[in-house]
Amino acid sequence: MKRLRVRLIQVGFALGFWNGIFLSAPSQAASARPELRILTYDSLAAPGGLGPEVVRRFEEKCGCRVRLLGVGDSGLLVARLRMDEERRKTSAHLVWGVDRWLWPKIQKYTEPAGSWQPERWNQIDPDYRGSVGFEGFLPFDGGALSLIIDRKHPGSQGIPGKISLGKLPSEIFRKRLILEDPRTSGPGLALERLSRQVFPDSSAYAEFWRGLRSHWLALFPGWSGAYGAFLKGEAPVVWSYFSSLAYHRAKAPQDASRYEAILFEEGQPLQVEGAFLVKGAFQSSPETLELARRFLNFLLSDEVQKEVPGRNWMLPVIRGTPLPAEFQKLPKPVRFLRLDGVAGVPRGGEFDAWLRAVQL
Amino acid sequence: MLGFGRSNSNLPGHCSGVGAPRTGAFFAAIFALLLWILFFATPVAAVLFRAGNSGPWDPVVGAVAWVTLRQALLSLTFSLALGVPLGLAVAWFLSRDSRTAAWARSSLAAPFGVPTVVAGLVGLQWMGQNGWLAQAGLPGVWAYSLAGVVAVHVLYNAPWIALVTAQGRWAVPVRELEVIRNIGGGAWARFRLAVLPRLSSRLFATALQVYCLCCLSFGLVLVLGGGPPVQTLEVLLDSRLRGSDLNWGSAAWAGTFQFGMTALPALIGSIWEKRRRSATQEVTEEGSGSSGVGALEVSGRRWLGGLVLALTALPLLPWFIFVLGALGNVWRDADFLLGLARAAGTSVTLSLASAGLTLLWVGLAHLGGRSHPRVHWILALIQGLPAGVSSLVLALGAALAFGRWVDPFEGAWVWVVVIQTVVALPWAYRALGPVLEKASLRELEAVRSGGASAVQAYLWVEWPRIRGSVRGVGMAVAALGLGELGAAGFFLGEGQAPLAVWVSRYFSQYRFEEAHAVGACLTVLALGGLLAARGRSS
Repeated sequence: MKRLRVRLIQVGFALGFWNGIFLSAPSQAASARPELRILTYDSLAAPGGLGPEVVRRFEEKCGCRVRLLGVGDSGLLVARLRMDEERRKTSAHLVWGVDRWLWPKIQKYTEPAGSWQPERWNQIDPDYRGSVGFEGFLPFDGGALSLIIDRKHPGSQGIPGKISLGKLPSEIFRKRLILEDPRTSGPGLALERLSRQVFPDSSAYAEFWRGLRSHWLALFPGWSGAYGAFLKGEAPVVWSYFSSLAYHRAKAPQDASRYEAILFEEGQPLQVEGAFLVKGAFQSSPETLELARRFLNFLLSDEVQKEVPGRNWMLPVIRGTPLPAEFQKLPKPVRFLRLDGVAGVPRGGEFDAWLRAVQL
Repeated sequence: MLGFGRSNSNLPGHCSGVGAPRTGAFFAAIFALLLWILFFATPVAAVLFRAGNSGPWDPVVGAVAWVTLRQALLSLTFSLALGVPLGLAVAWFLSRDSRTAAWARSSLAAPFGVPTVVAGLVGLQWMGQNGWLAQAGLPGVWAYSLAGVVAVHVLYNAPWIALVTAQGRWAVPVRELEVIRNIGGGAWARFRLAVLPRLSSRLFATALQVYCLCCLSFGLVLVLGGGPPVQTLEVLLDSRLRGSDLNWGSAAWAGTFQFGMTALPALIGSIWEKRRRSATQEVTEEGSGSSGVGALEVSGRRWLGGLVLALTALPLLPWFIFVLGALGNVWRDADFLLGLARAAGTSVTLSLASAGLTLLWVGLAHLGGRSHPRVHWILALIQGLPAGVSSLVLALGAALAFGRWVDPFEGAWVWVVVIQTVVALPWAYRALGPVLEKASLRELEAVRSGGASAVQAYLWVEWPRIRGSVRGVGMAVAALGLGELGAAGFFLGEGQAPLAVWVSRYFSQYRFEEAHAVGACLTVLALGGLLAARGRSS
């Protein structure tokens, strides 16, 4: 028994050291190559996700080393930049996977584009690109958000397929909604921005959220937890991506009609994920700037764009990219709500008004 | 907390002023003090300083502090209401030195090792809208509410309170009970005069510790609270740090409120527990019949004893079912197993490193305490303070204080080890204190006079006496560190995610079966480590 325990401890140490030394540290050969450090969110960087596949293919082309630094949820990307600002050190050359809704916040951390423009910029769908030219934020994938309903859930009875946002805090949705926290989640942020646009008056905005807080079953910190609870049958309705429908159609084609989108009469918010170069990261190495720009171009290549739906369950941004069958019949929103129409960010803490409405 | 080292409390020769060369003890004291200043005082001071410089606090922080206080007091009240009767029943029906009592002690101690990230998943499995309670016809709306948070806190803490109660009841000398009976005292008189004073003394310190733990609970509130308005200061702090709305000032205020709410109770609990142990020791040394301590006879009531034993095992049931439910096809996937091995390796390495650093720190503090009684008193006092601070507050403080030199989020695994160590320190110091302070002076002097060096004398005389407790405490610290999420989630980045972080990562990829399997693995490691630790210490 004693020998077994000793053996177990030895195995633990071996695993840990193997993990710590051989998996985290770059090899001698790798350290000789130029290195591009990319900050991204966890699920994009995780094995099996889109990130490692894109990195592998790019490394084959560039003869460089690319390190993906996964830092948790997408909301944490901005926190990381602010922390680097506090430390007065940059830890990455490029950020990949940040939400376009956060552009007003991330703009100051973005390397000025100057006259440079990604090669396929004009081929990006205008819904994702916006009406202005390239300012530093490169759209990479996107998709509309909506309420997704499980029609086989007993609580789904009587819930209509189309509503006004103002009707969300009504009896029919009481404790049947799973939402995400806008402070920490991209989809949650999109709903909060939508409410800001629909209720520009601050008292109507506060009234909406005050009413909604007694109607949601749970407000999860991240989309993953929210969707996990939805799939476990905790509630019939969840705030998620249109592409969630494609996921279900791909996984269970025989049950395709089970999940539906509930559309808002005001339109659906559009989430656009993108990449940008970090300001101040290239001062001592202009060649790395060239490498980073090559990576941005690579993100818009057909080779990467066609992998987006299957690996990241989002839509590609380049027009005409072939889509898998399950993505081709997604419902059409009344209209997309883009960043252009959002009311200005209030002074002070960004979510203070929201937090006061739901907490006090 | 779990009774480690208590079995050695009757050893003779207690003296804290001899046994180590003065110079060595002095340097050990300096080193222990430096560790405390660097790894605890500086981060906490950084948080307080930032809060002070960021203007008045947001009213939201006050409102969340009130929710935190209410939740912690409700959790404590219900834990006491369930734990005390269960503990009394255990002590009443099971003889202290019997094998069944040993089982009961292990059952009651084990739930404490379950990581909170797993507790959240199990809570949903049972109390969710679609959970087993709802399917059995009971209302399933407990999850995503204050009631859900309180219920899981009770599931965590009531067994611990029952364990402390049972130990308190077992510690009542039979002679005292007989004296009261002989002078005509009934059952109530025996309880009021002999049992209650000892129980209340133990339970007061334990209640303060439970209150602090419920205030510091983070992962569980995140999942089961359902978001605002049920959010605690830890959750607010986390969202201020990890969200796109990074707000150092508000985060620092949340941390300051939290420190204010928990540091004083933790300190009082620490001092109280130390005094209680000293008092207990005096009584024991007077020879008041500790050898006769034991429960009342159980003959003729075996079935009741069995029932009580089953009751003590009941809190383990949800975790057991959770682990069984993870036995799916995923275990045949080689990629998953490789990823699991890496994550387990990281978790085990981090927790073993924090256990090692904790033991080293405790050893230095105790050795340093031998340099002078006043130094001993100061070191004992300050080692208790971290009990009131959360890993998130320490992580925030470390980032504020050492951000220029430490890169948060990437490869700062040393800080994860340090923070887990600081959080475990008060408990480890208290658990090992009674053992380390009782040097076998006569034997040491005899060996030294025979020509052995100080190190040789220590290894021959002291180490065999204390190694069981040292290993037990080390394994318990490692087991409890396995599920730590606050510091690990804050500091660890690419390629270094431990098991607890992997649970949430798999969720984010729609890989629920894998998330469940990793959670089960974490539970088995933590519970196994904790039970092995109990075996070591006993």
